[in-house]
Amino acid sequence: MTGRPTTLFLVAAVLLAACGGETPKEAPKQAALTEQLPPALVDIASDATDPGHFADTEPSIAVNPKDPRDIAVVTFSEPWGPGEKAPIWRSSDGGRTWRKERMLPQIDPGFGGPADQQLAFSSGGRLFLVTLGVDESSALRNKIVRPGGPGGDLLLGAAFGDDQPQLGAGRSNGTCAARVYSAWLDTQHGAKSMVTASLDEGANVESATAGHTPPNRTTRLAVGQNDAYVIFKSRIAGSVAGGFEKALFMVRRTDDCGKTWTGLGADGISVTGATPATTFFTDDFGNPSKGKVARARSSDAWIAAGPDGAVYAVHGDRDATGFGQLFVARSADRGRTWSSSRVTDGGHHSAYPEIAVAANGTVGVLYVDYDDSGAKTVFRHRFARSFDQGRTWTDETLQSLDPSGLDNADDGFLWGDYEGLTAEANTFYGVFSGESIGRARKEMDPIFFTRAATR
Amino acid sequence: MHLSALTAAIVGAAALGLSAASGQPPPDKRLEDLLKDSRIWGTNFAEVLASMPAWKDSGEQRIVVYRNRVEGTREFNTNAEARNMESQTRVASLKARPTPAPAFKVLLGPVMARPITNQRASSVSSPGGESVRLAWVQPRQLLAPDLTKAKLAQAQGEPERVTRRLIKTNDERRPVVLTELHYANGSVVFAQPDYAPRPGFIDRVSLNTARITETVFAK
Repeated sequence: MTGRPTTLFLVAAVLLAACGGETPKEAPKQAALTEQLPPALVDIASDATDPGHFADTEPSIAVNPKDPRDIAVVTFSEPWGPGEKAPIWRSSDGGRTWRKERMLPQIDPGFGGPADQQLAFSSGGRLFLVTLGVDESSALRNKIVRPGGPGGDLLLGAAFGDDQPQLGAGRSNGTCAARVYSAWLDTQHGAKSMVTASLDEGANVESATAGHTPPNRTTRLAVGQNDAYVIFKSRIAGSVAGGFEKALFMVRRTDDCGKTWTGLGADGISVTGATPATTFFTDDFGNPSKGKVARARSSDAWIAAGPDGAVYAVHGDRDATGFGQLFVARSADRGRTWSSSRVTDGGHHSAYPEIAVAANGTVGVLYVDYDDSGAKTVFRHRFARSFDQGRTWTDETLQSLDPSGLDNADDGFLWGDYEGLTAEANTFYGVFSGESIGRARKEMDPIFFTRAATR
Repeated sequence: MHLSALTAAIVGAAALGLSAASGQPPPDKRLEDLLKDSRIWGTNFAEVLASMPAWKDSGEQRIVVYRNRVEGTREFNTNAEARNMESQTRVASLKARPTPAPAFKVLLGPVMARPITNQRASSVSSPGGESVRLAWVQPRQLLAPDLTKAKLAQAQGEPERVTRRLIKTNDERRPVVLTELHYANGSVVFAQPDYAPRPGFIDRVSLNTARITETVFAK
């Protein structure tokens, strides 16, 4: 454990001192909450909750805005089946302790899963999840899952789509309130990015094409106040070489609650302008001669909308250093123009970015880089913060990982295509697939962290 | 190594030691018993055994038996390449009519007595859709429908070895992770996926075509 709780306590104390107007009643409550902050890293799994030693890869996280102590995480762990529900990891104490709640039903008879999945809370504190099932013929099907069934059961929505679904819930009280969106990849038609919107929490859905010039692969979603954004990768034909491809990261916007995605013109806007980025397209992220590697084919972009209306996109691009790097582009005009800065250190290959914006405008980026200067490849989960709208970045290593000694770290799929990061108020909440903490044996587990969005 | 794998390996080694010390069946006899165990296989599994020489002669070192289909393990670049091998396999299956070993005469007699005309190879896409394999997709019951790790252990003892294997995909879907249970020196490997339409069951078995042909058919 690092000294972070002390640091956070001091930060909280300073904040309390600054908030002189707080009532005497509120101050002890705040202090009590601060004392309950979780350690710097928390292993969500334990020997009791994970006796099957699942790798818990491709994690996703959501924090209840009505009660930030209520946190939900999904990972690749136990499956659903006929009459069997798949688990959702849940914490009621801000991430200090976790339990497995078996809540997620099989989406349809004959479908195995959950495969890809993501969750989100609405502004009203309702938890939604999009989940992917696969049948014996390899056909794919998504459904949005919502609360409200009898006895606390989750309700399944209408079927739609294909691979790699993402989820966003409307955060406004305006015209798009209660909208739920899912971005996904249509692999049946050349890997084209799609977006599905629902007025009624997934019970009925409408899908629209978001991408163009396939293959698109990476497709991510951000929901603003009364708009929503999708970012997708558009490969430059014939550009795959040496583990990289050239691609444009295109952003499209909907201003009509998901009916059309033409707010930025018919094709959308490239965050790098006319110059394509050079981004990872490889099954060998890492050094194959020095241990296990990860696939990085659809792991190079993420998008987030800030409370001030600014939009941030993080994406991969190999720059003059020769390393695949991560850049954050910011748009202050709802996606029309973008200015960019490099997040990563210029000395290590970096990928798998997620981005979130806190209430005070601080930007956080979770990503993975690796160091292969030693005998083994060491992967590092890192977290960068910018307190000046993405112009400069401070960075920390959350955890270093040599997966070679971990039985359930699968060569070629170490953590999945993406991990989890979100922000609520002035705190970042994240989850990544890393090395277990405090378990009887070392293995891959979902690792939770929080970081303040203040200096 | 997983603790469970280590335990299984120790149990397996102990079992092998016991069998040697007590004069129980040698490994090929164990394979024989395994292949004839009706608690493990489906009612049509004898057809798979009958086809084993054809699979072997067409160059498949291992085949994978699912509940109602059989797949080769070689991946082909094109459908044409697969179809060419498919016709070779069909010819081989018609030509290769060896005599079952005495221990398999009762099991294979009814199958070997009729032409194997309904066992046609066809090509199927592997996950991701970019490679093609030979497969027999027939409405057959090839595995016991409710076969689990526990039932397998009850029937045949603990596996000699337990391994973990990831099935890579060419797209971004969740890859399947198999828990593999090795029997008969790896000639037969049962596998349970980490997620499936009916999770918790063994849904495939990998067979060594040469070893099984040697065991099932007379020299």
